[in-house]
Amino acid sequence: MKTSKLLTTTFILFYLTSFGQTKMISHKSHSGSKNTFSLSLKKSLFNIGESNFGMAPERFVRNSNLDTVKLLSPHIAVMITSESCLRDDYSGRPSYKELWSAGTDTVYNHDVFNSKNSIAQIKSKLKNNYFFNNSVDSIVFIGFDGKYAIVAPKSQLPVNVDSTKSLNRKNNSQVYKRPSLFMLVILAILTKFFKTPF
Amino acid sequence: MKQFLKIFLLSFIGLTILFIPMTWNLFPFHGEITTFVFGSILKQIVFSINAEIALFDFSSDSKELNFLLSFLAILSMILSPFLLRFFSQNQREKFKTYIVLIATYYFAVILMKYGFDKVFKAQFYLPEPNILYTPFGKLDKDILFWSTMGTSYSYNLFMGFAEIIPAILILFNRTRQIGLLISLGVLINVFAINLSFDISVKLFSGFLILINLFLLIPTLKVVWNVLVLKKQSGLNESTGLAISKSTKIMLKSLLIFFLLMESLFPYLLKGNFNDDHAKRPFLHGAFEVQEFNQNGSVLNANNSPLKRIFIHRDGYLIFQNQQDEMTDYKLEINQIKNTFILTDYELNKTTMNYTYSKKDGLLVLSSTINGIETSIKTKTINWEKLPVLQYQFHWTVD
Repeated sequence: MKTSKLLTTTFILFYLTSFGQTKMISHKSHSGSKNTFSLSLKKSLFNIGESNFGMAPERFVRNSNLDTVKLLSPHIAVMITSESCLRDDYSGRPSYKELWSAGTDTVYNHDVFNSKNSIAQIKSKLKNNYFFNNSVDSIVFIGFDGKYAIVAPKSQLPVNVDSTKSLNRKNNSQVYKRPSLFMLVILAILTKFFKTPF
Repeated sequence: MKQFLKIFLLSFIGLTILFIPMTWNLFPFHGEITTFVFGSILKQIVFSINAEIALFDFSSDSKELNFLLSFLAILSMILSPFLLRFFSQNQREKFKTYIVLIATYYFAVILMKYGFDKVFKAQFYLPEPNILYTPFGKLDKDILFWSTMGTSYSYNLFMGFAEIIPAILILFNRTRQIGLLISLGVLINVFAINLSFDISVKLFSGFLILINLFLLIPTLKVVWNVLVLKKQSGLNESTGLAISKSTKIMLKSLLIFFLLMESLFPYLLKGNFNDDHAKRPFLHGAFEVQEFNQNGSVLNANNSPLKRIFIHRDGYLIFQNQQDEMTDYKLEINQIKNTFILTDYELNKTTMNYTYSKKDGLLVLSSTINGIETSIKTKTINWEKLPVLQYQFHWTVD
């Protein structure tokens, strides 16, 4: 009888101490309302999954790198960007990738990226007016020497939005892959303790 | 009955440690294991009783986590009579030794993780500009507490070390009980804060107190005998595992290495040991609206429907109106086309053009929606100069 009372009290305590957030604190940190919190939870939106148990949030600091500029004609240029993602998350959990902007963009009659500007002028403008994460010297310029770049067939384009996403996923999994050695060590310890091969 | 309660408690603590899906840096599959083992059965139970569940994951203070813990408690109750019946006294002692050992290291690593998160300013991070410009009374208690904590580096160091020091003491037999006594004080304070400020780590912090008390039982008996019953009393030497000293030292060193790596890994990899100074994304900050232009009619700052806009470090654009109400959108910045792509919670996307002059700190947003041309001219606010973010310390008031 006493035991059942004790267990019942434990359950009641568990329920009384629920009603939670933490994800809520993360949501409120960007001034999200209670209504949009429910929507976020239901749809698993944005970075709702990046906070838990009040621990340090997993952050993604995203900035763009401009990797390549291809001039296709005097007025058409293709820019290839990649995501420079300083990721504070090492859990390997999926993130909200729909918003990743890296990929290929075609610009027409652009003030900077046209045949009237030399590479030095473009670099100078990029340095002063743009805020890419990488240095302007690391950008590859193709087609600015008078021979315009040739557009590869769509299937051979080096980067498109979809393939970038899969590339990002691949890169993430490569960079943050957990050492399988860890599992082996754990198994070895368990084997030693329990004297049973796991 | 005492034996039953003991076995029940051991089973419950063991199962809960195994299945509460923590965010581990070295072992990121914890949640997946829980979902694999209990996901479908709990889903069936939850849907059969028509409980409203938004997202089925076992996050802190979610209904799912409550269901999971209740389920584990019931499972422990069912298992306990079997363990009592089929385990010999010797086997039960061994079972207890293993659970105590697992609970000890689990408890130490949790304390260490939370401690280092505080020391490196990652848990209670610097408040975001949108929070700093929200009137005090409009903030909920949890975000208010979180943000207040985030303004004091020294208090974070203090609280962090108040968790790291007992965690280290707990790792060694000789200092374990004193470490547990200190951690009990720390955790009771944390639990009280979670209850009082409605912070959603109530269930988990309660569970940590349960483990703390469970590991502290031998000392509590001594404290009761000495301080209340005025009897001489002492702690018995714990038996531990029957393994050679050299193996024990090797295993312990390895385990401590893993615990430290688990707590420090993200920070060592980043090379940043104070999140206040971590790199913020492009255009992160606060901007005061100077001019609001709609279809050619220009409104100055006082008449503009918008007061400020903010760019959050996690990629959000937040508008603050004259009534200090905030509206947030997920933000994607296309730096080639100079566009902001805003996504609302219904996943509707809006594109705005921007121009930014670093020299003047001017950010101009413009868009055309349903034939209405809107342009918002804003200027960077030096939010880092706000009084709350300045170092203040006085021994005297005059």
